[in-house]
Amino acid sequence: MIWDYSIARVETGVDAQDAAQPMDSEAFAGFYQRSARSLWAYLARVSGNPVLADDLMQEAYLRFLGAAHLPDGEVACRRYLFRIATNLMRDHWRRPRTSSIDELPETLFSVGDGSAASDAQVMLGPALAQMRPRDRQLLWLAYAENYTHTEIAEITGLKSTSVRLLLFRARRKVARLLCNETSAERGCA
Amino acid sequence: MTLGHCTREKDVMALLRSGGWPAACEPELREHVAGCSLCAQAVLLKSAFADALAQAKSEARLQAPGVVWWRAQLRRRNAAVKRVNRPLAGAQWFALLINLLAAVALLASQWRHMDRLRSWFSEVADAPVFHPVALWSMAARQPGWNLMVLIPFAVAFVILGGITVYLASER
Repeated sequence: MIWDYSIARVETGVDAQDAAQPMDSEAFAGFYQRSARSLWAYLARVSGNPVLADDLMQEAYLRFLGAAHLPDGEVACRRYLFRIATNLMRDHWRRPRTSSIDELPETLFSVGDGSAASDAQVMLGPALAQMRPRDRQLLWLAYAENYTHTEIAEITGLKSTSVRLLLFRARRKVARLLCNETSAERGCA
Repeated sequence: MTLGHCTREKDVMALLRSGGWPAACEPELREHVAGCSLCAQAVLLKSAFADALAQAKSEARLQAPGVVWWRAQLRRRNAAVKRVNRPLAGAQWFALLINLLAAVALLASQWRHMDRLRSWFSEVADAPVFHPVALWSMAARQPGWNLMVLIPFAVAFVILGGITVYLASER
């Protein structure tokens, strides 16, 4: 009773600027439907852990909705969401009590249902498992989400020039791994 | 480190992003990709990641947006409560500190009377009025003493009970 009054005052009065809802529920529902699958795919494939991806995705949306100001436009909002998710993933890996992504079993990166997956994707799982987490992030953002170097820099907090160099190295490495796996089966072009 | 670069890579990537590869690709560009390791690499990676993305999207188990929205509202509400509580908690700590300081000041001012106080306590403790049996017999001899004990207990009980009921109904 007392708190309801106080909270209402906080939300509508003194701290109105902080508490103002940057997105209404309908707009959020639409944005969520359009962005959630991509975000989950990013988190699941980069972390290699679908359960962790569920948790981080929910937390990312909660933080997104808790932001005092959201960027204008859906593209910018989406980029902001990916930035939150990237930071959450980084925080998770930094936490000492949890296992590092480098210690996760390789099977986590393999595809669950092999029948539905293409050859390239079946090979991509083990190849990604051999990459560093940051390389996985960069590759996914560049080749799955089609982000430019500048956008990747904004999402990951790296410099644009660093992104270019790191992405070049990562791309060369993963292509070599994919080629090795392909050539083991049928030869790489 | 020299970063490899091909002038046709942008065209190849544009085709890949639009889903035009390989059907909408001109034969000349296809020939180029066959001979250029960088463009072939781009095609390989883009195809692999596009397939992985499609597969991962189909695996996603999403919550209803309303649930996420509701949780966000709950978190905002809790944050608002915490914001409101913060100055109150500060005031409580301040009051506690002032009380402690007052108690310390009182003790310090009365320190020189301590010996007299200690002797007074020992005298009081030895007095027959503080022995339960003696107290009981004294209360039995004077009926008014029962009420003197009972009334403060009853008042304290009523006040504490009222506070408890009030706090419980608040929650």
